[in-house]
Amino acid sequence: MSARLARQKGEWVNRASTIKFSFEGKEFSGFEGDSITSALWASGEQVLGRSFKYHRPRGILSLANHDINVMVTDGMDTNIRGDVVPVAAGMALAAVNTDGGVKKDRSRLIDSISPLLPVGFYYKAFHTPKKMFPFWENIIRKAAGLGVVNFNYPRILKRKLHAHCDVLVIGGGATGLSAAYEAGKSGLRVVLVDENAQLGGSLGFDWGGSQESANLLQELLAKLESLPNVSLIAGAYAAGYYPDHLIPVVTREGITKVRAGSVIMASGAFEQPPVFRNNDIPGVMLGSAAQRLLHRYSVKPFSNGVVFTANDYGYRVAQDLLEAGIKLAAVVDLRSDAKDGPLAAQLARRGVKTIAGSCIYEVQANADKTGVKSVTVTEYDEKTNEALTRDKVTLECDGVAMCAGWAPAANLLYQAGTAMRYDYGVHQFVPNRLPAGIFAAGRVNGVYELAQKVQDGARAAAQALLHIGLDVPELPSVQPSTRAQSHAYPIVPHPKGKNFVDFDEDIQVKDFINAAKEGFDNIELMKRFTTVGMGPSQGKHSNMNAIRILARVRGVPVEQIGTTTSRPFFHPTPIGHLGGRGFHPHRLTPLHDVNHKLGAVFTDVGAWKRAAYYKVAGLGVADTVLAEVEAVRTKAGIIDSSSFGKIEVHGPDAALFLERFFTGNYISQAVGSSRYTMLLDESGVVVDDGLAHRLAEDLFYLSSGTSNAAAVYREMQRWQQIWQLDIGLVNVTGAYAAINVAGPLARQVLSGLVNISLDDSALPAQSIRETEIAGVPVRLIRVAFVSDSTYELHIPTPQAAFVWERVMGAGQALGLKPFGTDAQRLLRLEMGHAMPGIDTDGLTNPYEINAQHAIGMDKPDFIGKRSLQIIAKRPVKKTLVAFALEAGYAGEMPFECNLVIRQGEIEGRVTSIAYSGTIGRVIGFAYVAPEHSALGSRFQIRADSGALVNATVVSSQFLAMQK
Amino acid sequence: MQTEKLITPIAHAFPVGSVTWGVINGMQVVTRFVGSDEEEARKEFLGIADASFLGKFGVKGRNAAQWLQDQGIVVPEQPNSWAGNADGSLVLRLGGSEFLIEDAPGGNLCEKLLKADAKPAGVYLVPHVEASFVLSGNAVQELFAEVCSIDLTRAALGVQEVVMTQFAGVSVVLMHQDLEGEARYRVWCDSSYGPYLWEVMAGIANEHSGGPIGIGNYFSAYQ
Amino acid sequence: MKLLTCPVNGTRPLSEFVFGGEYRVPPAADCSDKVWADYVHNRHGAPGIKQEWWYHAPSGTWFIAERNTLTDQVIRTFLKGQEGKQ
Repeated sequence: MSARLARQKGEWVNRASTIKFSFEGKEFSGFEGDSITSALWASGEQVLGRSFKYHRPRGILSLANHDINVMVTDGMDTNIRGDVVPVAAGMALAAVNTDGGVKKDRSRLIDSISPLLPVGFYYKAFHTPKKMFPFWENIIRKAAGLGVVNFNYPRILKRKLHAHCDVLVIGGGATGLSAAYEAGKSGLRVVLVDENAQLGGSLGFDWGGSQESANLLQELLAKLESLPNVSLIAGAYAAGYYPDHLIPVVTREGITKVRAGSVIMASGAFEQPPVFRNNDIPGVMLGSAAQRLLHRYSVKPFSNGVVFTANDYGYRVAQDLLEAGIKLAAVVDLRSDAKDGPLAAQLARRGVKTIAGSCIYEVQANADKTGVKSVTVTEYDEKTNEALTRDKVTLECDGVAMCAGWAPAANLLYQAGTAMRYDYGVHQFVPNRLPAGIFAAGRVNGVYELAQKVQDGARAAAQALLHIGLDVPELPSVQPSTRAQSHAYPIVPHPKGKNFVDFDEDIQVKDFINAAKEGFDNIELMKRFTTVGMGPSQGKHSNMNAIRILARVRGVPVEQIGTTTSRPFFHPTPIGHLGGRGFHPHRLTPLHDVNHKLGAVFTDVGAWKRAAYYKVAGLGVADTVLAEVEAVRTKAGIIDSSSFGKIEVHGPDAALFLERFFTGNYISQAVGSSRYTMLLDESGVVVDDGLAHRLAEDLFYLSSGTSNAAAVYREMQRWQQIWQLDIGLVNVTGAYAAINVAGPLARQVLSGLVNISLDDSALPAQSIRETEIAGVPVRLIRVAFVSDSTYELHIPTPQAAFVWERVMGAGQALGLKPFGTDAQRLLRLEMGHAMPGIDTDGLTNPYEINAQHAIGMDKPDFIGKRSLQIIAKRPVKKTLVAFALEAGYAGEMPFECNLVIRQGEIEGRVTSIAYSGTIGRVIGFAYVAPEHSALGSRFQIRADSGALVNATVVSSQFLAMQK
Repeated sequence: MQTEKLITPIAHAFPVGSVTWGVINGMQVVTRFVGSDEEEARKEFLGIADASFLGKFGVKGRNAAQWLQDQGIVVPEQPNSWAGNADGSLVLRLGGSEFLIEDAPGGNLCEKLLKADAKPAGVYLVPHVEASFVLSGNAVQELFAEVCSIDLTRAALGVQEVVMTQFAGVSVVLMHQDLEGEARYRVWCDSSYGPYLWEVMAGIANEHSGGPIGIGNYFSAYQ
Repeated sequence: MKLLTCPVNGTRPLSEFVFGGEYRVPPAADCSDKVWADYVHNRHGAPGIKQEWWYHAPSGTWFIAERNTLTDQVIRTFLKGQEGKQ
């Protein structure tokens, strides 16, 4: 039986386009422009969902995405909001959270045992007997959910965009459109967003029986069409407010982060339901929901209804229902003074009686519980807020439109730090103190009359323009409505309960009273104990009623209760939107493709991709790495070290700068030589180490590890700001590539390539020369990090691949083999080099790693010196030692961070450990107590299984242990 | 074994096989991605080209501006601005006292500056090997809207302004130049980020019916 | 996200910046151990107007921001040594 009305002007549905879909296995058809809910309601389908806790049948409440009565799944996506998602051809939908379908949900039995499940029951029951808890937990977890996730949900690319405007207007009703026009006249960039499929807000449905609103909408849209600098975007919601007017705007396609010069909040208000027994039966809906059904979708909410109202709004709804040809059994008005008003008289002229000073005491459902059969009306005492039940009147009807008032949609205002106040004239919270650049207008500002809303929007726009710096006249301010738009306490108590405040969470009036009785009587505690406002709607239709009830329970005025914190997002936003395209910046060395061709397996070192090892067919990773190490120890290896930090320090004060920055001495350093650098922080903790190569009196070329390179350069720049020395700092990390050739045959590999002799006298250990390879300038450095005989080539980046090929060519006959970072780590360990960041932590000072030699305490000052002076006076607390496990050890392998245990107490930990094929033993570094750090001392490492592994302190010259 | 010593920093991001490689300024670069008609069509929407081969030179320091002027270079006065020199080369002032100079297509100013007399005190050489791009087309603001969080519309960007900001998480230097009646954007980034940034921008360009095109579409010297 | 104004490069979103800690002048090197330790390890947590080091990453510019840590309002930003500049 169709509830579709005849075609009317302004309807959202396109009757020329029929859409076929299914719901709960049954075929339905609607029109293009229908939402899922409106198409179903038009077809006479009223049970559209099951409530969260009690699995009660549910229909329409707000039809505005302020509730989740209608949540469906299409098998792939879930928690689809039927009220606002357009119906599409071929959709196969089912309600979420049912056991056996929405009509025959087996879980509906929970409703009948609800007295056993009072508010917070899960905190009290089920924990004894203890061993039964996992059983109950399993059941409750399964019950406490809504949609089921399909893990085959595809990865959909969503673009995340940035946009900029001068004025952002949030809300496209009378207020917002008026504000956009006023602001747009200035020629500045104005953007207006509205979450609904079409603009207009309540102008599109709240007609009160006249065409005034619809005509105003056309007029405003026409005016805006003449302003190309104004963008009007429907189907877009402002998801939250972030500092300095950053507002993410969400559409189905993705997020646009809008940075606005000023923000006008014209977001309106959420209609609040009056609270009475069975106010959730399908067919009982908010007045504005009935109007949306009527005027957006041309669908009858019901055929013969009752309007239950506690404010004037219900009369507007009644007029709209009558205009659509719907019968009204009565208008029940909670307020006793309604009897003689002009609104009641208007209704009387249309043959509808007003029952003043009364309430709906309870609603009766029809036989199969799919809709309304009748309502019980009694008198209501507004002083005691009780129904007077001695005289009950039953009215037959098939639906109820209910109105009690509004809660301002002020979420983003709260997030921006707005202070609100409760206005006893209009009876709602309104903005009291707005942050700079943010303006509120319309219902969210307490302004309700149509002409006043238009004026308020223009006033806010003028203020926004002034804020940006335009010279425009201020417009007169508009006061909140003095006639109460919301009822102070629209609550009808009932001994049998089921008078719902929060429909998402099935919270009824007695839940609040019980919570308060248990001591949870401040808004934050009450919210968490009852879970009011914690469901998917986040309190849109329930928070104001909750505050009113708590105020009554506590006996204090509403404004003393406060509100809970409103957080982004305004509506649930898909994580795919937040992920966007997913930018993962990464850096490649100029030798990346060359390495790839050689079979490199890459790893992430900070932002860089580095070769960890080079794959060998048939060989596992561990053996591959050992083979790379063997090549370096017996012949020669080549590694791409391009990611290392490289910094040039120029100028007459270059050496002085190094002496202040690092711990070592550099003024006396000879040109062409290299010295160790160690960097401390102000507290004397080791931060980094590297090398300083002196290319000239006034030029040092520094190298440091990959991970700290950017931070070290940053700190150099900062200290230079403070010291103001005569230097120039140039970060050349990206400008130069680096290749290390290491091993006994390294010199032979390079001899024919470079322009200089590689004899010890020409290129001693720790020296640097500028030379050439095949015409390419190269800085050649002799270092000893992975082996005694290592040559480091620094080459301008664009020419690196060319030089690599030359070196590989020269080394082929000699068995030159590429090696990666895995092998490098073991090689440096075999060489006995401790590494900051691996063998040190955030508290390690140089004395703990035997680095006294690197510290020039005689220098006037350097970073960390003053702290070292203090630390040096104290005994050392831990000492880094080199160790080896027993020869032939084949037991459980300990790992970095396994603890050193002595007599049941923690003495230290392992920082590096690996099996060395070169030496034939497991070696590493560990922290032990200083009194146990002598060569030959023994200690024990607790491996992951708890087993204690014996270790001996040895000299860090591990290679000397080779047989 | 390659004989050309230089290869574009973006090489890794180029598709294997289907493109045409060439040598410009001694650097191996891709000179054509698809047919010339298709490249012209792409350019209408969103063209992106590799200009990394153009010679670059850099100096910084308290006397850098003066030294450049002594070499006959027209130096922009304001921090974060650029000036075109008569020969078509670009002089960018990065911040207050650092300069990036890029050769005009076919020019060799940078080589000359590199070989110039020893730099005096307060003038420090900065090697520049950045990856660089040319971008243009009707959808170029769509690209910027995705990769950059600041306003790069013509209204917001000054005519001679140089902007140091971030694209897709990577630090870039950016400027806009009207050349041959066409609105073009020039972008430079660290060479190690070149392949990543190219992949991101070319991918987005493809979605807007644009895409990679040979540099000959922008500079007739390389057609 | 918050905006911050680099004195050289202009107003940018916070993602372009690196925080460098509170701007503090160390005590003279001949101070007592106690005074030095207090400088290194202790901070004043009470809200108020603090001076902070900030670094604009794309341009490598260090500057100082004066910020009210209670309201998160940045009062002004300037290059070190140019506090007095208008």
